[in-house]
Amino acid sequence: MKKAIALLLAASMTLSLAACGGGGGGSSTPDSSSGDSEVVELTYWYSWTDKIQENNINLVNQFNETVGKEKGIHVTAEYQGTYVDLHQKLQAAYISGTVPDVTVMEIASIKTFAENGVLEPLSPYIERDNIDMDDFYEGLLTNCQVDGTWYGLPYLRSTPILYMNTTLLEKAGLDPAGPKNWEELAQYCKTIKEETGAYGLSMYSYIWVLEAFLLGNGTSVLNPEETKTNIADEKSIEAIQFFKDLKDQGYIRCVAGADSTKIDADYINQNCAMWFTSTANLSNILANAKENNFEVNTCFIPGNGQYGVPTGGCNLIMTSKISDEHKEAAWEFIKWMTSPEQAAYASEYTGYVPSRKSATATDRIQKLYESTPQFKVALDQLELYGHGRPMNPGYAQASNEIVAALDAIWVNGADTVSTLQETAAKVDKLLAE
Amino acid sequence: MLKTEAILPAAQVRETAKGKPKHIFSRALPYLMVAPSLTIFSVFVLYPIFYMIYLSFFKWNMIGPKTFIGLKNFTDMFADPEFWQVLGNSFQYMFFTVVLSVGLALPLAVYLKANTRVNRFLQGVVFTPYVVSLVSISFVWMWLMDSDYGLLNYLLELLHLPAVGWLNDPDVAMYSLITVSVWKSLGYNAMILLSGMQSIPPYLYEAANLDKSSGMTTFFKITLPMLSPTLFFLTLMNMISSFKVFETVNIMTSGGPMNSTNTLVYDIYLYGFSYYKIGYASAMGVVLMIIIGICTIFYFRSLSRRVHYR
Repeated sequence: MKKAIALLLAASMTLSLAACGGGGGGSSTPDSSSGDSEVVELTYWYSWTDKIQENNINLVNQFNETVGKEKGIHVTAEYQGTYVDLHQKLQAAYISGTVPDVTVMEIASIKTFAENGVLEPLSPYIERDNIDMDDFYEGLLTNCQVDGTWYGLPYLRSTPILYMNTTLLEKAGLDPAGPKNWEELAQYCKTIKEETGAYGLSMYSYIWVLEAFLLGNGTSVLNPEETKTNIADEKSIEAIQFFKDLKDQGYIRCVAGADSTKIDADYINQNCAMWFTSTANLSNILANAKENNFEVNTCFIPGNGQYGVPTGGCNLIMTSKISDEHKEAAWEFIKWMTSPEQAAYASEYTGYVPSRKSATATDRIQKLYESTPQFKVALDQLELYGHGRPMNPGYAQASNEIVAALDAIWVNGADTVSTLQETAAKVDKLLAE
Repeated sequence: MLKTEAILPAAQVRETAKGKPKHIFSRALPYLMVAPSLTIFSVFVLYPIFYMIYLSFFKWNMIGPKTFIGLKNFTDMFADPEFWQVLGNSFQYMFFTVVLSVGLALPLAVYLKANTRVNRFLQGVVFTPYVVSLVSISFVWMWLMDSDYGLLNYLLELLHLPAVGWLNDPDVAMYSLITVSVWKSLGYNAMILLSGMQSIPPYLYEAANLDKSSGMTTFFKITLPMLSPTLFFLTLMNMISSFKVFETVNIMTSGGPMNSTNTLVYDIYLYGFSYYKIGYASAMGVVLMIIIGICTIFYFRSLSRRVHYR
């Protein structure tokens, strides 16, 4: 019965992920009017369903009822599927000249769009309105600028964290605080498998989590200049081999990058005790755990000698092909959406980290951390060990190559060193293009 | 075919129009009649084809400026082992899909030919998959083929056979996709063949009966030759459609594991819309167009001679 439910759930998740955005492309930038009384109609694009969708709709409604009403701005929110779907549609919309005024944008993609003139630089607005950029967490800002110019403000931002089914951990006699380093992680996985029969860890080939593994071993997927990859260096090989060994010993389960929904089925069925995913899923996971009668805790992604995680999620950006009147209105909307009150609201509603320090200081967030400390882990991890993501336009394709290599090594048993060397050569070529 | 000619044969048009400018309308009429479909054809088929060929000489990400790079997209593509793998995958998919879906449809059609109540019901049943959206079919088969929770592996387990990584094993995944495609098109192919069989004149069979021809001989000497136009049509249509496979690849495997199910059309999609390399994607599109063009011409030339037209 449980399995059936899990399958249904997994299926519905897949469907919601795969569902291409409804709503079509068109946006409204009607050439409105000089009249002061006229309302400026803005279009806003967002990604994802469930809690994240509700959060977007709620915030837009709040804006329309308060600041929007006051300043004569009305925002229409349009769902556009996953980040990849949204980017594709934005690309097409830009060519046809019917862009949304404001949209979310996955953080690693900002450079591609900014370099091609799709995005409006936000620096002049930030300076004019004295936005305190130091109030945002530093780790979030790397992916908001290109060559020293601001193009986005942090909105729904995240880090990957380790989730643990503490009911299973306790059954295996383990500390529910979680493993602190790789040695403990390996020990946890072994004990869980031996004591409970469940997999210690269930994971899929995921570039974002790999970025965390490598940062945790003192290296990174790309070099700081983003001209070469480090995935074939000693430390990367060590990291990837570490998980391959655990898999070969039967303590953890690795599935292909295309099979990510199996992780959901595994943790809901208590078929695994630990799994990596974004902090953005925290609200959903806590609800699922409650429904299936187990407890969930979160902790930093264990490292080998140090901690380190990439940040993720999306920023809010403004497009360039809109009238000055629309730009002013769009800026009002972006400013409001990223201000402390709204940042706190979004964080509580979804599990994304609060993007700025003053948001964390609000009562809303402080109360949340007291009642549900799992929410705080991602923020602490971000403050102490957060890094940006690579923004080289070739990285999208390079990521696919790397995921294919991880599939080969972790799932299909290919040789670690030779596979990574071959992939590194391909990736270097893609980065140079 | 060519009904427009029947409306106003060219010669007649010339005659009536001789020295009478007021008849210019009747002269233009045939062109006006075909204009709507020709316009649509030009806008949605011809223009994109030429634009694609044009783009294949450029490096372009759709939003920035275009850079002319000559034949570099093509030389890069032919030097890339991944391209050859993808091309090989496409041919593998096409070959097995066509052979199996047409090859199995023929005995099925023969079986369903007898006009009984059960068969009428079965005809409906086998045709159903063709009506269902390929997206839904992909999801259903994904569950059936799931390596952990899937029905197929559950059945294997009951028989004490080892589990198969239907969609996770690089050696198996392509055949899983082929299975889905065959399952979907089998009923349609069988129905087309069945209607082909029913239109074979009964007097041929009566003559065969008089000659005391055996069932086999009747099939090979009468049914099969008379059916060859239908078979030819089905083969061609299945070839072209299977070479353009996209939905199952996109939903069920994303081209994986290890690129083993990545086909030409899916790769074009990846390059065009995920990697923002429109020029390179266009170059692949040109290759796809040439292959489909060659297949079509080759088949029309070589098979049409052997096809028995009444």
